[in-house]
Amino acid sequence: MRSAILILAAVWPLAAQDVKLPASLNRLAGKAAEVVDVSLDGPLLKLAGKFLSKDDSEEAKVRALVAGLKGIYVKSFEFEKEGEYSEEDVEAVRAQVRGPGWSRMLGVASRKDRENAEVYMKLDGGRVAGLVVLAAEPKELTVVNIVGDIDINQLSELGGHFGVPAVEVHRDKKPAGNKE
Amino acid sequence: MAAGTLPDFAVLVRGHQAMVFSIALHYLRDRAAAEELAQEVFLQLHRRLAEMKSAEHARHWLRKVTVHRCIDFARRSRIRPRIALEDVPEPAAAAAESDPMLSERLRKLVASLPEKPRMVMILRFQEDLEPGEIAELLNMPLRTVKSHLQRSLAMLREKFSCTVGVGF
Amino acid sequence: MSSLEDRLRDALRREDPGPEFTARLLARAAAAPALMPDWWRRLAAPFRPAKIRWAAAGVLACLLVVAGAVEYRQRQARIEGEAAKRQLVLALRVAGTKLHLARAKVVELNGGL
Repeated sequence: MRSAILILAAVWPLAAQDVKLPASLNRLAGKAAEVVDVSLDGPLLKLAGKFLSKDDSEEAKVRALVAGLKGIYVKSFEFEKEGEYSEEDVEAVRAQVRGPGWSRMLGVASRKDRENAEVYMKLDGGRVAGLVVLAAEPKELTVVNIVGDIDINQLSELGGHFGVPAVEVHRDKKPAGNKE
Repeated sequence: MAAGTLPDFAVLVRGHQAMVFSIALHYLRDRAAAEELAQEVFLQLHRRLAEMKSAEHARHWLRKVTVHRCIDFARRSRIRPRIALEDVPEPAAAAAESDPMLSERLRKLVASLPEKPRMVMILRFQEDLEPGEIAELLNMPLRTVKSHLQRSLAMLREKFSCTVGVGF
Repeated sequence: MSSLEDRLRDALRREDPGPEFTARLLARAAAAPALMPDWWRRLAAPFRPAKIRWAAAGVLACLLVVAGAVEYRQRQARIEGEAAKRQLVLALRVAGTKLHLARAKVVELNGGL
C-alpha cells in the first residue's frame, strides 16, 4: 500500500472538524499494533493550553500555536505487516477534501519508498483556516485534522522540539564514515 | 520481590526511569522526545503489567521495548540525524582532560552514528551489555555487533583524538 | 581498558529525568488503569477488604469523603489537564512530523533545491 500524505484544511467559520474522519477507520484499530487516537476540541484544547508553561520556551510556542485552534484530531495506525488497510480507506478521507474551498498544495509520490504526500489547505481571507494530513505508508496510516486559525510557520517552528525532526533532507550529502 | 507477586508499577518506574529515559535521550538527542518516548514505554508496561513474571523480566522488557521504539522512531522520521558527523566541530585547541565539554562532544559524536551502530554503542557503554547480549536484544548477528563496535570506536578515536591532543 | 571507553561510559552514563517526569507518568497511569486479565480479577475477588460498619468510622469516613472530594476534584483536574497537554503535544508532534516529511520529500525529489 502506498503512502499518501494529504494535508486538508478546515474552514474557520464552520464547526470544528467539518472534515469527518470516516467511521471505517475505527475498525483499523483492531488490526494495528500501535494506535494513536487524539481528539481535542475547543474545551479540551483550552484545558491543555492552561497546562502549557509560559516560562518554557518550547511550551510557550505551542501555546501560541493552539491559541487560534478549534480542534485537533489525529488517528494513526501502525501495522505489523503491509496490506492491512485499503485504498478505499484512504479514498474515504480524500473525498472529504474535494469540497469547495479546498486547495491541493502539495503532492509527492515516491515509488522507491512507496510513500505519497499530498497537502491540501483551506484558506479563509488569505489565512490558512485548517490543515488535514493524510499519510499512508506500507505499514502506517495517519490522518491529522487541525481546525482553526493555523500559522504554518509556527507549526513548522516546532521542528526540533517535541520529537519533530529539525533537519532538512539533503539529497546527495553523505556524512563521512556513516556507513552501516 | 516474592515469586508470584505482580511487580509494583511505581517501583518499576522509579527503578528504571533513568535507564529508559537515558537510552532515548542519548539516541534521539531531543529531551522532549526522549521524555515522551519514555512515558509511552512505561504506559505500555502499565497496560501489560500482569504479563511481567518478575522485576528482572520487567527490566529486560523495558530495555528491549525502549530500544526498538527508539529505532522505529528514527526510521519513521526518515530524516538524517540532527547532527551529521562532519558538522560536529572540532575545538580550536586541545581541551583539558577534565573538560565537561568533552563529554558533550562525545555524546554528539555518538548521536551522529547511523541508527544501529548508535544503539549498539549506547547499549555497550551506557548499559554495559556484552556484545552477545546486544546481539540478542537487537536480533543482530554477534559479528555485526562487534563490527559496529569496532568501526564506531575507530571513528570516535579518530575524531576525539584531535580534541584532547593525545592518541588512543 | 582504553581511556576513550572510560570517557564513553562517563559521557553516556544514565541521567534521571527528574521527579516531575515520575509524577506526570504516575498520574497518567492512574488515569488509565492497568488491563488485568479476567482470571486475575476473579482470583483476587475473595481477597477484597471487608466493609467497615462501625458508626463512628462511618461518620469519620463521611468527613474524610467531603474533605477528600475537593482534593480529588483538584487532582482529577490536574490529571485531566496534564493528560490533555500530553495528547496535544502528541498530536502536534505527529502533525509536525508528517508535514515535515512532506516538505522533505519535495526537497528530495527536486534535487535538494
